[in-house]
Order: sequence, then structure tokens, then C-alpha cells
Amino acid sequence: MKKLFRNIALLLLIYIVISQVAVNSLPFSWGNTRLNTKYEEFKSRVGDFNTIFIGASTTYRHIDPTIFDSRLAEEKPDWHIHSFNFGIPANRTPQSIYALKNLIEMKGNDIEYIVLDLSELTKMGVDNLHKKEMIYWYTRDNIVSVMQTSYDSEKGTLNKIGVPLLHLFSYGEKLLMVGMGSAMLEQHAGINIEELALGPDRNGYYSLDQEMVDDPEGDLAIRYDVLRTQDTIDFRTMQCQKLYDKYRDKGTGYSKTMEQELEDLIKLCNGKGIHMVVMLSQRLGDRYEYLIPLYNRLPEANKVSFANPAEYPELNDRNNLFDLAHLNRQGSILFTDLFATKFIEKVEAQEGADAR
Amino acid sequence: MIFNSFQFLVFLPCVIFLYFAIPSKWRWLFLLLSSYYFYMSWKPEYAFLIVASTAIDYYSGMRMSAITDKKKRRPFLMLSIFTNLSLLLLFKYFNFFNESARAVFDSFNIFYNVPEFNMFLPVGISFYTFQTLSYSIDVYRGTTKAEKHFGYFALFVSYWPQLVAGPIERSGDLLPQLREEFKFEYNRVREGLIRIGWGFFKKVVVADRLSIFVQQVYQHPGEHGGFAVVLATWMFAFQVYCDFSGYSDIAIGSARMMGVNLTDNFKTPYFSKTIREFWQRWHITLSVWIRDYLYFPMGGSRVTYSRLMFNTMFTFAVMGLWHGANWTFVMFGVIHGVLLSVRRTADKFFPNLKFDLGPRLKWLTFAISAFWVFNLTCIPDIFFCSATSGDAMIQIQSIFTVPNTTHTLIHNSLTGADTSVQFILSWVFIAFLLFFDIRMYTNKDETIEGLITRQPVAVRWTFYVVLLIFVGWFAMTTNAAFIYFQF
Repeated sequence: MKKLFRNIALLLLIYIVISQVAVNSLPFSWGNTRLNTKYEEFKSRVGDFNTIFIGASTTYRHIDPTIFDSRLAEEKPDWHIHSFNFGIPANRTPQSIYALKNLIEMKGNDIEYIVLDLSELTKMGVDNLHKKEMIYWYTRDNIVSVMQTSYDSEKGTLNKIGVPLLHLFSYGEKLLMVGMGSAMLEQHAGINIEELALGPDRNGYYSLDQEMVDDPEGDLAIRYDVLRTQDTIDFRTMQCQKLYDKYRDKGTGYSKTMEQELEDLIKLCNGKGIHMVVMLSQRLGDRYEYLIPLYNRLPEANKVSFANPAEYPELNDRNNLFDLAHLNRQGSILFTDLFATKFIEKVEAQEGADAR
Repeated sequence: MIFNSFQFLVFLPCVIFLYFAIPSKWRWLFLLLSSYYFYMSWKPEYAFLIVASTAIDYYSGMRMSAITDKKKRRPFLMLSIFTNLSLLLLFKYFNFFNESARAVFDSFNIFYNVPEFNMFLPVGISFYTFQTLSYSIDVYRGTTKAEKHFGYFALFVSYWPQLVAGPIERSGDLLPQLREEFKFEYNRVREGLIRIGWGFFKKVVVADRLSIFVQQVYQHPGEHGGFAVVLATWMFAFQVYCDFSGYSDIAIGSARMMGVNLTDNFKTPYFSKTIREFWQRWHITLSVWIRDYLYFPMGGSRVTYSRLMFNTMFTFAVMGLWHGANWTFVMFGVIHGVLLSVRRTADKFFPNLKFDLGPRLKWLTFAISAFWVFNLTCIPDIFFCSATSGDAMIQIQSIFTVPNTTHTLIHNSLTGADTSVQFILSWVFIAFLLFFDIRMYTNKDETIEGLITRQPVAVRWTFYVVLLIFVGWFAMTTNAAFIYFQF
């Protein structure tokens, strides 16, 4: 039996080594077609962009770099803002931070402004586990981080064990490259690209309205019709308000690991002369319970919140919504403008702090 | 649990390890419990039927063994046949016959109101029912002795490697092996692992990948042109071969690790030179079962020509129906029956009619014959793969139409970023499979483990690493169920 175990171990070792050599030959964004498309575009346009928006679908669908740039060109022409939207649907904050670190490492000298939209901290939808879109993120450091973050959380013991286990399983899949051969070949063949993800202006923003027009047979039309009734919008807004009011002053229960990671990121940005703004959008479910305490810990000059529905009623106006969680084209124009104002305030505050 | 699941990857090593760790006198109990665990992991209710079938067949066998007069044994044989076929008819075929009857009555405007039987279809019922039926018939005939130990008999019925999709084993082959005391043997376990690896390659790398393209065509009958339908049908032929023989390989390999040799169910069937040879190489244990318990009792081939034609058509229709409760499967069997009957008729009336390009072009004669037979077997596959016979007829019509460029399989496959790599990979893996199938065929139907273990160590290890990379990197990880589970 010893011989059998020895040979199986040797075979697995050879397999893992080959798999790791293969994985290391790929860019950090491999597997996630949208992220990879944006990354390739960003990389190929040397010196074109000095501002990055990164986050989940709320970033992807809500901030139009063209409008943002023109607004900033009017108000702050000496900042020479040229922005790129790195928003990826279902991206969680740990993935955004990982992508950001890679982007800073690659183009740290070109980047002057970063906007990070906070989303879920530890969880990844079970549906998204074992998917090539998420596998790129699993590194040893990220796994350690997700374990620490789960341990920090106020959730029960089962959750503290279960969530890291799920991630460990996915990490194992990446170590062993389970089912990822095709994605790897697509990456090497240069066909891991989804041009539509760049949007019509090739700056990473793609409004949901436009996508529905471009892809009339997709599920967006169903989402648009089913989810956007006044009753559901009112109910959703009321729920969001209740959650916001409940947690707005909460100072405990934040993830110390995530706080540390964000502080480290801000320090890294400061060290490279990059202005960083962390944004909190409107969220549902139990997200505010963990996001608001973390957000509250961040330096005032580095954060901007749109989380309070009462403060921004226009973001819940039926005319500005595409579905329950996303703005339409008109809403995104409005939001980009609102955000641009806040962005200028925060960057000026940071510059003021630097000057002092 | 299905073989291509994470659950099974934990189950298999645990069972193998514990099997050798526990005293041999308790192994049957351990295997029985693990078999029921394996089966009940789908639905615990499934166990009820298999327990009922086991109990009745055990009782029938014991009673028959105590009676020497064959005539007096008959009621117990009938009890076994009636029980097993009733379960099969009720759970698998009731709705099919009911709907068919309703269609007939409706066409005559006669009111027909027998309700549907909305119960679950137990996994693998066709396999274990046939296995226990063969036991009862063999005991009745006196060709095998009744098993006196209820535990061993229950294990024979439920032995997990072959429980849900075969091979359909005979009691005379399997029961003595289950009683035998096996010690851990490195070479045997290694052979088992090679066979399992090869099975996984066929299932999760080839079959599941091919299904992407087959579904594109077969879920949208009439939307694709001739070449796309032909290509999809070829791909389906490889899909179903890899799916089913892959399952058999995993079953055979798993049993082999525990010392049990299950019957080879497939022997490179697409290298058959005749339809008859095809059925000697494809789903062998079912073909042999049908031959021994249906075809031979009907007189086999030692009958008049017209009776031979009837016997052939009938047995193939039953074989088709065994595959599933749908007219498409009946058609699948009937077409095979027609193909075999045509060949038999030609042999009878034109005994000298043979395709032979001479000894110097023997390989070409073989290649053309095999390709011809492969294409012939693809005709019934069109019915096998279609949801209805109407859909199958549409696909056959489509073969003779001009392709619509926006809906051809090739066009979509090569222009879609998501599928172009998969399409090319599909054919690369088919080529890899055929490379080894040719080697096995030319070495007198050698098994993959036999072929590999006699290679030098460097070749062997290269094969292991390549196979592991193929299975690991290129597995379609959606846990698609095996096609033959529905049977």
C-alpha cells in the first residue's frame, strides 16, 4: 500500500507543479472575461487613463467616465482627469482590492485617482463559486484574508467555518486548475475578450439600457419589466431606509481584517501619490450591518456615501431606475454628476490635509 | 451519487481503504451497507424497491432450489418474473403505455381517463431488474445454484459499482467473486485506477464537452442545415459511447480495485465491420442478456427465414424499449433490427457479396467498413437523441437541406469565443480517444489498463500525467448526469 500512496503522491505533486506553472503564465485577470477585457484595454492604452473606478455592477452601470471626465474638465481642468470604469458584476470588495493592487503594481505611475465602491466583504454567492469568472482571485494571501475576515465577523460558528471552507475548496480548484483548461487556452489564444464589456466609448461603462438594446434576447428585458414596478421600488426603498437607519451609527462588528486591508491600500496609494476615495452605494440584505461600521472607520477625506435613501431620493425615482438594484442611463448620468461633485470635495480635502 | 461528483471522489477511497482494513468475514456486510448508502444518496425511497425485488428473488431462488421437478419450480419463476416486470412496467413504462393508449382512443374519439402514475423513476431499475431476473431464470434452468446467504444475495443485487448502469452481471460470475477473499494487491489497484481515470476522461472530458454542440442542434430541430446535423449526430455517437462506456470503465475499475472482475461492456464498438459485430461490442452485457433470455427461447436463428426476421425485429424492439419509455427508443431498436435483417437477408441471398479490396489494402477495407457501419449506427442515434420521433424526422429531413449560415453548428462553434476552443478541443480529445481505441482494437481487444501497464515506465508515467491533466484541467465541472441513468 505504501508504494501506491507514494506513487499517487508523486503523481499529484507533478500535476500540481505543472498546474502552477500554467497558472503563473497567465495575467491576474484570466478567467473573468469582463475583467480581462477591461484589463487588456487599459493595459494597451498607455497613458490614456489616470483615474479608475472599481467595484461591482453598481460601479459598472452607474458611473460614466465620459460624463465624469467632461464634468471634471469644466470644474478642475488642471487635474486632467481621464477615467476608466473597472466595475465587474458580482465583484466583491476583496476581489476589487486584489485587482486594484495588481493595477497599481502594473501602472502605478499613471494612476492618480482611484474610486473603490464597497460591496460584500467575505461572501461570494454560492452560485459564483467554482466558476471561472471567480477563480482568478484565489491566491494564498486572499485565502488567508478571507479566513481572517470570516473569523472577525459577528456571524455564527457555522458561518465562520463554512465560508472559509467554501473558499478553500475554490482555492483548491485553482491550485489543481480543475476544469480551467479551456479558460486558460482561451486566454492564451487571445479570445478571452468580450468587447461589449467596454461599452460604446471603450471606457468600461455600459448602461443597462444600452445592453438591453444590444442584446434584446437576453434576460435584461425580463428584469426591466418584472422588477421595476412602483410597489416593488417603494418596498425596496423602505427596506433600504430601515436598514440604513438601524446601522448608520453602528461602530462595532466591522471586519478588522478588511479595515486593515483598506488602510494598507490607502497607505499604498498615499505613498504613490494616488488619491483614493471609498464609496458606499445603496445596498440591501444584511450588507449595511457590516459595511457601515467599516465605512465609519475610514478617514473622512477618503470616503463618500450614497447609502441613505432619504438623502438621495432621486436615486430611487422610478424614472431613473432600470431594476431594483441598478440605475438606468438617465439615472447613471445623474449619479455620475452627483458623484463628481463629491469626488472633487474629497480630493480637495485630501490635498488640503496633505498641504497641512 | 453519481460517479462524476465530489461526493464519489470521497466515497471511493474511503470504501476501498475500509474494504481492505476490515476482516474479510465482514466485508460483505460493509459492501452491502456502502451499496445501499450509494443508492440511497439519490433518494432513500429508492431502497424500498430494491429490497422488495431482492427479497422476492431470494425467496423464489430458495424455493426453486428445493424442488427438483422443473414444472413445480415454474410458479416461483413466475413470481419472480411477474414481480420484477411489474415493478419495471409500473415505474418505468406505465405512463408511456397509458399515453400511447390515450392517443389511440382519442383518435377514435373514445373517452379515456386513466390517470398518470406520478411517481419517481428509480435510478438504474432496468439494470438491477434484468440482473435479478437472470438469476431467477438461471436457478429455474438449473444452470446456477441458488444463493443461500441472504446477505451475499442482497449484495449481488445491489453491488454499488454496477448497480445503476451495469454491466448487467450474471450470478454465476459475480457471486463467487463476492465471496472470495482478496488481499490488497498493488498491480490490481493500479489497473483499477487506470480504468477509472480512463472512464473519467471519457465522461467528463469528452462526453460532457460534446453535449454542448449536440444540444445546440438536437434541441432546435429544423434550425440547422445538413452538415451540421450530420456533424452533431457523429458527435452524439461519440458522446453516448464515451458517456456509457465511461461509466462502465469507472464501475469496472472500482470493482477491480476490490478484486472483482466485472464483464467488459464495450470493446471499441466503432471499429465494427458489421452491425452484428457492433452489437457484440456495444453494451455487451445487455446484448448477451437479450440473446440468452429472449432471442434463444424464441428459437434464435435456427428457425425459418420469416421467423428469423420476426425474432430479430422483436428482440431489437424490446432492446430499444429497454432504453427508455419513448417511441424514439423503440425506433432506435427497430432501425437496428432492420439494419441487421437487411444484412442477414443479403448474406442469405448473396452469400458471396463481400466488400474486400484485397490483402494489400486490408487496412483500407477495414477503415471503409468501420466508417460505413459507424454511419449506419448513427441513423438510429438520430432517434435516440431526439425528444420525439417527429423531431427525429425533421432532423433527417434537415440532412438533405442547404445549411443556413447563421445557424450552422460549425459557424456558431467557430465564431463564438466561448465555444470555439471547446469545439476544437472536442475533436482533439476524440482523436486522443481513437488513438488508444485503435491500439486496443489491434491488440485483440486489450483493455486500457492492459495496454498501459505493459509499457516502459517513462511511457506509463507520461500517460498518467497527461490523463490526469486532461481530466483535471478539461473536466466539464457541471456534474452532468450519465445518459444511461435514465434507463
